[in-house]
Amino acid sequence: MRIKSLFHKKKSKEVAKDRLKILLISDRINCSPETMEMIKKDIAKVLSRYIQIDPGKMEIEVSKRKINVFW
Amino acid sequence: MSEVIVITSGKGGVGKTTTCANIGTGLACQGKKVVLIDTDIGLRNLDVVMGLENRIVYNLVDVVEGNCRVKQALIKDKRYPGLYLLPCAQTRDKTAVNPEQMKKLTAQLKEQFDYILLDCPAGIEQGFQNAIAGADRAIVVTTPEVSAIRDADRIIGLLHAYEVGRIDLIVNRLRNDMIKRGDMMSVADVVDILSVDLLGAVYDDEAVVVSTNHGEPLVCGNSVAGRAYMNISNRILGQEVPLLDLEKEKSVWFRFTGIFQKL
Repeated sequence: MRIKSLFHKKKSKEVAKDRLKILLISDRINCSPETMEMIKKDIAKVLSRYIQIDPGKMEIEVSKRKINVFW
Repeated sequence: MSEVIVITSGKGGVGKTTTCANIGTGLACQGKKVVLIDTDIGLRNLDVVMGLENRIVYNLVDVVEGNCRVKQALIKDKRYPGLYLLPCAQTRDKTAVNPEQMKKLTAQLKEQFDYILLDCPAGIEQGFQNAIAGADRAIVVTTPEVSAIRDADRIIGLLHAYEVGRIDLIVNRLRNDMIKRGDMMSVADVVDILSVDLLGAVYDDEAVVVSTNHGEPLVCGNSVAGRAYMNISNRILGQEVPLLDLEKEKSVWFRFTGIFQKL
């Protein structure tokens, strides 16, 4: 694993972009990444009660509409 | 058709004042009547960047409080016809002015000037609210760093909430070598993250420091940053100007020096 990461080092720009994306989502909806993770888990839990889903494959996207912007 | 443009960033030190000085000068070079207003009360800097610090008599707070007429407080830049500066007070704080007063002032200046550029203080407190009060459009300045982009995103959100008509982005202090190495976000990366219209990209340039040392805007010179600022000014005037391509310039330079090496 270590050798692999040595050869395939992530560029610092990619790290910055990934961090920013998560950061901005939580900034925009005013909640922390941990809370986001908890929300995701809860949604998966509720959904799995009714339908069969794979929580690992589930993706939840948070988007903002122009109306009703509360900062 | 005059326009009030606020130049803002959220984070401090990303180049708001330099951008404001150079865009203003660029517009004046194109024959427009321009006034630059420093709204960073208590920490004024636009006057030194413009090299007009010795000519201040009255300031923004004097105008707003009615101690003088607007005309008395405006400093005419003798180097560029049509360029004026309205400095702010150094001994007061942001609460000396309120958004209503700023709206009134910008409306008044709109009658005489083509462009009113407001240099916004860092932060999102009263100084920011004063600066954006009368603005028709906003230019958000950021650098390709995590902290500056985060603050820019917050500012863009606030500008939307305050219903500022148009929001454009300038990415400042780019370094081509670092971008190529993958150690700095490119203009496209920043635009992608912030999803806002791009007005210009300015590469990191030593000429900026030199020009600030002299108190002379570099927009009329031939430096990389100077030309980038001139392009931005032209875009504000509605012209279609492509982004500066450093790679292309480099190859021209190499070709040039290559000739000398052959000789």
